[in-house]
Amino acid sequence: MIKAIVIDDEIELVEVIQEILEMSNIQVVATGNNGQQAIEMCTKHSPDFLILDLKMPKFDGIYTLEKLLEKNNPVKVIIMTGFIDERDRSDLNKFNIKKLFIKPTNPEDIVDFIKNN
Amino acid sequence: MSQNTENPKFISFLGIGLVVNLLLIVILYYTNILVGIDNFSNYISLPLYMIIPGALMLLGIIALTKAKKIVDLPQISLVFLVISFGCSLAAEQTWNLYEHVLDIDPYPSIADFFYLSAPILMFIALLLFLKPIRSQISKKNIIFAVAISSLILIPTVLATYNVGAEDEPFEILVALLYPIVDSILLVPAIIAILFSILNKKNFFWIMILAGILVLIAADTVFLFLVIDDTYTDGHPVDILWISSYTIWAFMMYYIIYKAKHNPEKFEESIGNYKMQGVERFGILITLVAINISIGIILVAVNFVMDVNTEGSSLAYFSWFLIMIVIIFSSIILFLNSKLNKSIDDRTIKIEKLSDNLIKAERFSAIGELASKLAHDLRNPLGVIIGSNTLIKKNPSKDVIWKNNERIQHSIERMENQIYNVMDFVRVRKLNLNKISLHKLIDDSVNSLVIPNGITINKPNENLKIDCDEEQLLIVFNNIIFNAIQKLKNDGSITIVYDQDDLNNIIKIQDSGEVIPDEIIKKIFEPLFTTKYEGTGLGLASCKQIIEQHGGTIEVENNPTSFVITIPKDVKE
Repeated sequence: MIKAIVIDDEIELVEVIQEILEMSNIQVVATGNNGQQAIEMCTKHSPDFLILDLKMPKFDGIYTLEKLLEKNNPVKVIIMTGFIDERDRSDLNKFNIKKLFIKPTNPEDIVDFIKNN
Repeated sequence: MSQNTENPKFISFLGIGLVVNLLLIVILYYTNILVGIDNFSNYISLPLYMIIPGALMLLGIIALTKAKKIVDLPQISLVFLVISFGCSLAAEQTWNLYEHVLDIDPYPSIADFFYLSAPILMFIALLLFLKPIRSQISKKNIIFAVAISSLILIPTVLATYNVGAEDEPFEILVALLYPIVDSILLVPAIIAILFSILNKKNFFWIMILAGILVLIAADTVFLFLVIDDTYTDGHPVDILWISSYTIWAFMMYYIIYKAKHNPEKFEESIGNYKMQGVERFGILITLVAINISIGIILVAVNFVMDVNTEGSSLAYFSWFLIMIVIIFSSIILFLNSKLNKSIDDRTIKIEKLSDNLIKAERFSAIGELASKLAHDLRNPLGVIIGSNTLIKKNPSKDVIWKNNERIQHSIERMENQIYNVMDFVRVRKLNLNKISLHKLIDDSVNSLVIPNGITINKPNENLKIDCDEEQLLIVFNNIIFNAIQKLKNDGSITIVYDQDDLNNIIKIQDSGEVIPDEIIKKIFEPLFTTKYEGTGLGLASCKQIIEQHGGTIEVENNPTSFVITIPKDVKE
């Protein structure tokens, strides 16, 4: 079974995505609302996919990606963000991002992407 | 040591030193004229004419060796200035030799050669100083300087014209050379001072010019004295020559000081000096002082020394005085207009810059607001789309109910975000009415969901104030909502009314944690927020609304309170 972690500061959005992924036989091993939780959970659960928001309190998405890169974590990252500027885009180029979704995202598109990769 | 600013103490010291020196010389000479000092010529005049030009030369040489440290002082210009001082020294010593040692009075002599060489070398020095900025010198500037300079020749030419051929024409011709050479020297001096003013290279060049003007006055008076054949050692005209040497000597010392302490920028001579009046009126004061001193000298020449019994020289002196006044006035007027124009130009530049800055700030604020709004609206939209998908996939009663709740909540949040932005962006005209504060607070509290653990305390006595009810409700909603979020589910919110002579005062206190100082500083700034869901516009709107009422809003700690004052007499 494919394992995924969902990280977004929008709690209801995390719940909705979690429910849809689970309906589609993707196991959501953990959820969280900030980058710190993302790093801890990825280390702990070694998921196949990380669905990650960029703009979050405490540690944001870019910081999370830097830490994961340092730890050589092989998780496939899907970015899901409400707003992205040129600076974020150039920052993202440094990392191996599998897919970038701009919110509002249809969760079924995320499911399709995970299933095909 | 100061690096970029002048030491005010040093400038004061220099100025006072110069004034004291000049005063001493004047007192010395006038004591001799009025009372008579024995052996004045040998014990005072001779050493003075050795020491002061000698000191000038010495300081000039030291300044020259140090000046390479000063970044933007053209050194070659200083070289010629110092050679010019050397010529003055040579001239004075030759003259001393004739007068005091050989006891002869040859005129014209080798001394005159040196005397005349000095201003020519100074002329070269000034040209070299102006060389780097020659492209900025307009024809108008040159014509102005030439016109002003030739004015000083008028009394001189008139005086010599009226002198008969029998009055030793060669001697008069040589004496005539002095004002001619001086007037040529005055041309670059005036141009230099115009640029000194515009480029803030004031102090040094103003004083060099002051020295030149004093020298010119001395040379012109000397010509009249030669015509009348009344020049004697210890004559007050000597004061002028010694004064010009003294002024230049102090300026050489100024260069030495600058080279040691502040060589980075020569141009900022008195830029940061506290006495801005000196900078602004320095030239005026200098010129007025010179005018007065020349006036005093002329009066002395005419009345104390009684040099003129025929009256003709007096007329020329008066002409000379008038010309000097015209020259000074023209320079002052010209400089003033230049200065005003330069200030106007700078004001226009600053206005343009600040306009651009405001525009840039506004665009950046709009951009920031738009991106924040996009982020904040897309999150609840994402929830709506996801909830809708869940309902479609499993339209059971429970799923529909649960997701309907989510959709409802998301819609409310989006509405709230939009209202927040609109409250901030839209500036409406105040709709003033006498409003009960109790009613306003009740309306606000009723529109919010107050958790059970939070109590709201209102004052017993009501207060009615003039305000825009709808707008003030936004203010109370924002502040009370923030307090509720901060308290979570535990604490109290206390509202206090107060009054002073002019204002109604409303305090909204909460029992929560203190707000850190760094947050208090920014708390009313648009887009500043500590909450991830906030637009950062709530409190900015509050400030806008209260200020529109003519009041103020502030935050205090211990206990945390928002203090609102609204004038009793609010104007629409």
